[in-house]
Amino acid sequence: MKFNFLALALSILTLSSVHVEAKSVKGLSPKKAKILSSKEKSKKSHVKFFGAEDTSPITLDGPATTYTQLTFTQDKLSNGTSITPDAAGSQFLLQKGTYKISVTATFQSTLHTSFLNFALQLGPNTIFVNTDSQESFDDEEFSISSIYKVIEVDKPTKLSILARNTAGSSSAVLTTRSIVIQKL
Amino acid sequence: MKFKFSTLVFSLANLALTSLALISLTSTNLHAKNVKLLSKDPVIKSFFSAADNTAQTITGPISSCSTALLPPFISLTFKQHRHQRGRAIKSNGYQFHLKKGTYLVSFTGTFTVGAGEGGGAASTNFDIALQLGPKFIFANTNSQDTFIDTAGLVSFTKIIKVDEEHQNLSVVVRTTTPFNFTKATTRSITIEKLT
Repeated sequence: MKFNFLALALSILTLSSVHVEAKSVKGLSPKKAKILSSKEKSKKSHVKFFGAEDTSPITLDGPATTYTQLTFTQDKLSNGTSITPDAAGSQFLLQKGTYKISVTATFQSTLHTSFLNFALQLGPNTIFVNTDSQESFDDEEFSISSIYKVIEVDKPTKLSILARNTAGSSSAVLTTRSIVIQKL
Repeated sequence: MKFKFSTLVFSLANLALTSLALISLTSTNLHAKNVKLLSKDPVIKSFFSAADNTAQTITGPISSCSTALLPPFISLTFKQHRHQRGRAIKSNGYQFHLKKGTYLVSFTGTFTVGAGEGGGAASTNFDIALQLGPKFIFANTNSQDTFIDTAGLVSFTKIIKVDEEHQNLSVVVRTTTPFNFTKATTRSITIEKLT
């Protein structure tokens, strides 16, 4: 009799545990899916970027000691509020964080040989000065320059892309250019 | 005795079934979880990257007449070292089929130039652009010495938006200097889906 009872109890217990397990697995699955999708949504919204281009010509006569801010006013695409361009498309207000900056520009040397400095202005500081040169002889006048840089700002800071022509008696024109700012 | 035996058998069968059920539920759940994590992982975005080092020669106009038509843009191929995640970007080797969204396009390529039959100017100019659907966008121009300093490296980064359900993207090049040619050698492209 004792054995009967034990076997029956064991049987009932096993059956109920199957149900409990099945229920918990079933119950967890949609819950987890929900959590995943809300995580997905929140992380998707964390992809912050700004991109723009411009084709309006900017003339850079040399020798220059001061920089010219490059404008990016066309084909603007952005996500999030971390990067805000000004109305002129030449300054970008970056909220605290780390950003990857990518700039590509075509310049044409129109008089003699131009030496172009490309740089970033971050707040009051001019950083990451790069140089490209191009002559205007024999129609060898076009150059595509690209710069990439990761920067970090610990408070809201303005960023600009700068250029100047340092070669005397020369002239260059910046034509197609694009900027991509990604918050990392 | 019969009852005892049948209860015992029933109990043992239940136990076996429980274990089997638990094993199958656990493995099914784990498998589903892995697939979900792989397909919905929000940290890793959809991307496609490819490269190519097959030489592609793009010849310039065959007339130096100022009214001569410029030759059409030629699509660069990217058939090697293909890496892909997600289903937003597909490629047939020279066109990238993009689903609606915003994409970051990064390109790096080496170009050499030279003079074809009939001479040619001392410098060779070529345009490099993106073709999105029927439109040519973001056209940049590069010049390189035809005879001595013949090689050049071009890189660019651009964010593009695909408004339609699907659109094709290509990296296109044309040589604008009469009789000369541009040769694309090593090149790579990365396309990342941002939104």
